[in-house]
Amino acid sequence: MPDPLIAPGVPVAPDPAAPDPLALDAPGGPARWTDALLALPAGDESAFDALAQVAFAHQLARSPVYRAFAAEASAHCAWTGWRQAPLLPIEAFRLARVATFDAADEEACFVSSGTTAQTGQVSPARHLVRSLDLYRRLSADGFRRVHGDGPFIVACYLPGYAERGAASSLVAMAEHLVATFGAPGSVFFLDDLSPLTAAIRASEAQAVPLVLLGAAFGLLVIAESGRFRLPATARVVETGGMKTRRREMPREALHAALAAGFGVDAAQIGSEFGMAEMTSQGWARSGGRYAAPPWMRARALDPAALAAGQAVDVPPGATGQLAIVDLASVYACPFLATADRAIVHPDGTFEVLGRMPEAALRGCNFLLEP
Amino acid sequence: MHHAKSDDGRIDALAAVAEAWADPEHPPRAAAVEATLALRADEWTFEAVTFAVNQTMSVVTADALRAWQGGRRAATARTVGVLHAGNIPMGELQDVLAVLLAGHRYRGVVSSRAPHLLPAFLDDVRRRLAADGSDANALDANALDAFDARVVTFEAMLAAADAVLATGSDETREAVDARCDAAGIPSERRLIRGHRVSVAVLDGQETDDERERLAEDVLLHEGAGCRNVAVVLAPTGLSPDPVLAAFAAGRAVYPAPPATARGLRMAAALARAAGQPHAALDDGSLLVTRGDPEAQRPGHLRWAEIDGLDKVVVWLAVHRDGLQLVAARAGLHAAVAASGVPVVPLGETQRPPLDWHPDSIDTLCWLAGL
Repeated sequence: MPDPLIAPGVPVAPDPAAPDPLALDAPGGPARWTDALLALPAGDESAFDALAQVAFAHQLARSPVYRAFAAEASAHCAWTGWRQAPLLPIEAFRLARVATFDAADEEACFVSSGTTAQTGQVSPARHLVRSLDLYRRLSADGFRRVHGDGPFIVACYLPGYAERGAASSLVAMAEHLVATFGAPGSVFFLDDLSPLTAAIRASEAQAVPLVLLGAAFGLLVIAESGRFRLPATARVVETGGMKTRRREMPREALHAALAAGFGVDAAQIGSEFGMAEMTSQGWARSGGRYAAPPWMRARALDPAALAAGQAVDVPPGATGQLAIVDLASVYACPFLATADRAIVHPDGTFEVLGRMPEAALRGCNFLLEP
Repeated sequence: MHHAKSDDGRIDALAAVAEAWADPEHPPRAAAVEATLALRADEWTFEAVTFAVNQTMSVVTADALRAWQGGRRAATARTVGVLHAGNIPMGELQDVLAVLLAGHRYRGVVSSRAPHLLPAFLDDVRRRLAADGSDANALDANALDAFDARVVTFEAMLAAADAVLATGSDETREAVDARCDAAGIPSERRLIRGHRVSVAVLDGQETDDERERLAEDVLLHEGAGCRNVAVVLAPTGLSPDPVLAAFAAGRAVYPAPPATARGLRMAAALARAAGQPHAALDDGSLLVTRGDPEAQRPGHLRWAEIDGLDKVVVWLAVHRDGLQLVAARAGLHAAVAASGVPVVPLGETQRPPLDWHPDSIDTLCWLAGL
């Protein structure tokens, strides 16, 4: 007989024996963790695994949701490497408080737009942020690793996000990029496009490269207007879909249209991947293959196996369900199973292909078989 | 007259073979079912396959075929390529029959996961036509070709097809469109259906019998088809207990294949960890969660609360492009129909009539107009 639809109790007791060499809960914990991640050598699997173990222990000790999920999802919770850590479905951020700290220590709350392609408005995901400084420093370093130290004239066009202000992680990131890398003349703009004209002129006058950061289809509208020709040193960085339009087009076609519309080479069109549930971002200087910072890994997993609790990587270059291990999210959840499709390449770069289709989950995508 | 005689031969042969296939002991059917279950033992059950074949054959009568055709026949016989999803046993047959009744040649691509049932049925039709000299003489030169049910590759189908009929996810729809573009098949000769789900609307006035019927709508084929009920819309506070009891009893009639419980493991773990109200059968073969009205994996029913029938109708209307059917008790039909989504009685979603309109499009009418 089925149980009634009641909310079950969740064990919340922390494990006092969990290792916490960086004293993540103590004052200064976020700064120590940030320093540790920034010192992580790129590609050092052993060092990454060691920090992942610390993050895992912190999660088991301090996150009631992850602790309960790991207990449900795994036969045991002993550390056997970061690839074996249970991956929390990002839907958890819509259902519960996914955090390792008390509400009194919450510095921000990033909220997703709460829309899906299939069903429209749904409950938004809420990413509770313990430390904005951690978020900002790591976001900036991820950007720097791909785009360099700057300075740049940073022009940000984020319709659909800017209106949400501090609740938008994308806006928070963009504001910090402007603060960190922005030369005089950097600007946010929305309906009035004249600031973009001014930013282009500033870029040319100061001989400082322009970085035009914006929601993909918002940028496309500007590009297709034909009113703006960007300098030869400009970089366009699209951050993915814009919520106010439902038009869909392949990324290659989008980038080609942006390049043509702005009068730049296609190699000058790059992209950014982030989610409200994540702390870090993936950046592509050109095209749509994202580089993860040293403290982040992307995996493409067999969705059927993942649903059954097994993280089985699909072959390199094949499409799978995206899983992210983002150690920067130690105070939320670093071990995430997303609802996106992705390809992960042997060098660790990854492409995100959009949401896992509902049809795939329900067994209806058999049309194009090899 | 030539067409009429040809159609009579086809219709009589199809009806005769369907009548033979209504018998589970009919050797071609028994062999195809056995092969199907050997291939899909993880996802399909004997009970579900038997139900689907019986149901499909029960509606393929000579009278029903003639009534459905209703004199609709294309002026020019074309080769119609059909891409089948293969997610429901024998779910392909309606499209095949529509192509044949419209007077076209059928070239089908069946899923590698469902390669036995449909080809075996069509082989049976071909054998009957070949053995029946008088009918065979009445057929036009392409009659036997029209019953050619060989599994062909997508490429071979595209090379032969004048028109394409397909069902799949939004992603595959884009891919099929692109391939059709490359093959020179004009857009007006494509009918490419997207992915849809069905929902049930409850108001608490359902009888025990109606709840049993709802269990069939939900449990059969594990929710894999577009007619399966994936979401229940119920008034806030309505106790799900009587419905859950019906589901538990229904599982005895329609047991779950192994893949269902396995595929629900993470979703159940998340529900428990995140405190999401839920219920699960003891063997894990059905999960019901309360939350936003979003379709989930096979075997996972979403129980969504919407207060007031007027709000339910608004929700249905807003989402009707993603909905195939609404199942509801008779007393709600008039109100629910105002949403524009087709309404059927509880227990009818898995019993489609021969002439039902997937995606609210009259397939035969479209084919006759090619």
